[in-house]
Amino acid sequence: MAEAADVQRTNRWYGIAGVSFCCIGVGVLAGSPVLVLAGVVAVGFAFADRIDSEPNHAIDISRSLSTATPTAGEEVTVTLRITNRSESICYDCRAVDGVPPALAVSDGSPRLGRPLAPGGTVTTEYTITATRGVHEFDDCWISIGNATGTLIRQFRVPVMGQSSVSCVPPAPQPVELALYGQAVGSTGRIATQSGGSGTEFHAVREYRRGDPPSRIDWNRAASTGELSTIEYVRERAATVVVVVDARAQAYCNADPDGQPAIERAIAGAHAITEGLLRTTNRVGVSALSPTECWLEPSTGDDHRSQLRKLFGTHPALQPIAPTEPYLPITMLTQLRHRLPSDAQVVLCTPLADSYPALAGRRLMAHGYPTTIVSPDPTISVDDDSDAPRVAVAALERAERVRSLRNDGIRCLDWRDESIQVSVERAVRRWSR
Amino acid sequence: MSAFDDRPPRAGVVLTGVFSLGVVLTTGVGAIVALVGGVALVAATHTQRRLLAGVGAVCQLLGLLTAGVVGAGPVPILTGMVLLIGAWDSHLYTSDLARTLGRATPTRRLLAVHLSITVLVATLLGAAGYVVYSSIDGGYPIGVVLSLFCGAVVLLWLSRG
Repeated sequence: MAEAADVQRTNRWYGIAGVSFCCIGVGVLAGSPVLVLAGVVAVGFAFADRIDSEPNHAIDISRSLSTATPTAGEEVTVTLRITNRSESICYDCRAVDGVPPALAVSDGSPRLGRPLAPGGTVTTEYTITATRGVHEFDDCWISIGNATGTLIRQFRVPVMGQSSVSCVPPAPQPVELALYGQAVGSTGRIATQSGGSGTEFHAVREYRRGDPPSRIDWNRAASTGELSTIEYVRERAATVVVVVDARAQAYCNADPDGQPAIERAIAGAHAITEGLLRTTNRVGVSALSPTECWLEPSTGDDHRSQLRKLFGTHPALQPIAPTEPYLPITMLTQLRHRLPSDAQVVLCTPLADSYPALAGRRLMAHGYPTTIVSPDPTISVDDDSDAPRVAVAALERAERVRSLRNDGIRCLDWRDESIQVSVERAVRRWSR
Repeated sequence: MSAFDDRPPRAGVVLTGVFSLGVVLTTGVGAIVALVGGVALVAATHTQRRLLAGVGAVCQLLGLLTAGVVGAGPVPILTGMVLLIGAWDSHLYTSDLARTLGRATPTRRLLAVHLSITVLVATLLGAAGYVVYSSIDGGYPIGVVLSLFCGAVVLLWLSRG
């Protein structure tokens, strides 16, 4: 039921008594009885809030959604139904639905204003465009007023029916990010310094008992009569933990109406994990966030669907910036203790401040080869007044990228192109 | 994210203009001042400027007072006062709707119901005043005394709270 709310006076007719006395005074001075009469008309409104009854209507609200699990970009129709449960007319009923802040209303209005007959119901529809994440609707704000508009009562009403939208993005186009040459035992795509089974030639050695016949160099055996074994570059799978910077600073954007940088960071992280899983690497996910987020490195289809759900709906990666404090050193230490000893780290961050660069350096120093994937949040700015501020932010960020590269940390500066193009360009640069 | 459009509903601005124009038409010699006031009131409703609205309403009232002083009849003056109250209420209500519901929300029914009630109450008060005025004209002073007495009682009762 609705929270209790006091009646407020709107003071709508504040000053009407002055008008009345003005009319009566001028009428008396000028000997004009009609002006005195006009003053009488006005004086009635001075007491309107005393005459009229208080608005005490019981209002019920229900909400229904065309779908509670839309795909990203799908339009969801929200139907809001407001009922006057009392036995008197509500002359002025206004409602504002608690639309989740990260969702844009694409059609209609989540606001409604109508008089409501006793037992009467009014319905409004509006459309929201779904975006990644779990979005909770808030209570509905209600304002009811009396007939003369002199008294109002404002309160929040819990809404019956559906109250959340959960949107898991589709699997992205996989991105094959080049990893450092560190690997674990199982077969994969990371080239190691040692020879073994694989596809790329590494060396020829003496035949040892038990070598598979397919790796014996039969040409050499035919010409020299000695058996030798061909070794290929051993390809192994890596353990990679993709870490998303989900602190409040990562929700920045040069364009206030555009999507925050973290959305690109999450999309990039998702595409990279898809690419890594495709090449049989073990992939885990974590976040630099006040909310704990950790998924153990693993592989397989079940793990892939877990990752997809995590990137779509995990509370640490919500579309709205966290308000809880982030403890930078504690959280980083916690992450470091969780990382498997042979893990590589891919840190997806817009590098909006110096902390992610520090985190990257610390991880590298503790023996975790770290690659930073950084969506640039300073690329689009429509408002000229913001241009100097954004220019300074861009300079600071460029300096962070340069400094990380100088320290030997791979840093992918992802500008306005697709992640695939950006990764391809970076991989070419790293392989030089 | 789509920004909330807090411009006033067009119907409210139009109704304020209609009421203000009505005041201008009833003020006779004070029409110029009332017209200036009407323009100011409509502009204030459109731009949601409270001070300008106050200036506009005062100008309209001055037009009405001028008409009354130079001897306009009771019907135009009372009609003018009813319309002035309607114009002021329309401005206030439109601004309030703009602040809470904005332009994108349909608000015509709210406006229609609220302003109908305001105009109805003002008309009833004006009619009551006109009856009293007629009784004075007809030479029944006892009626005036009784009316004043009843009015004083009602005012005292109302001001208790």
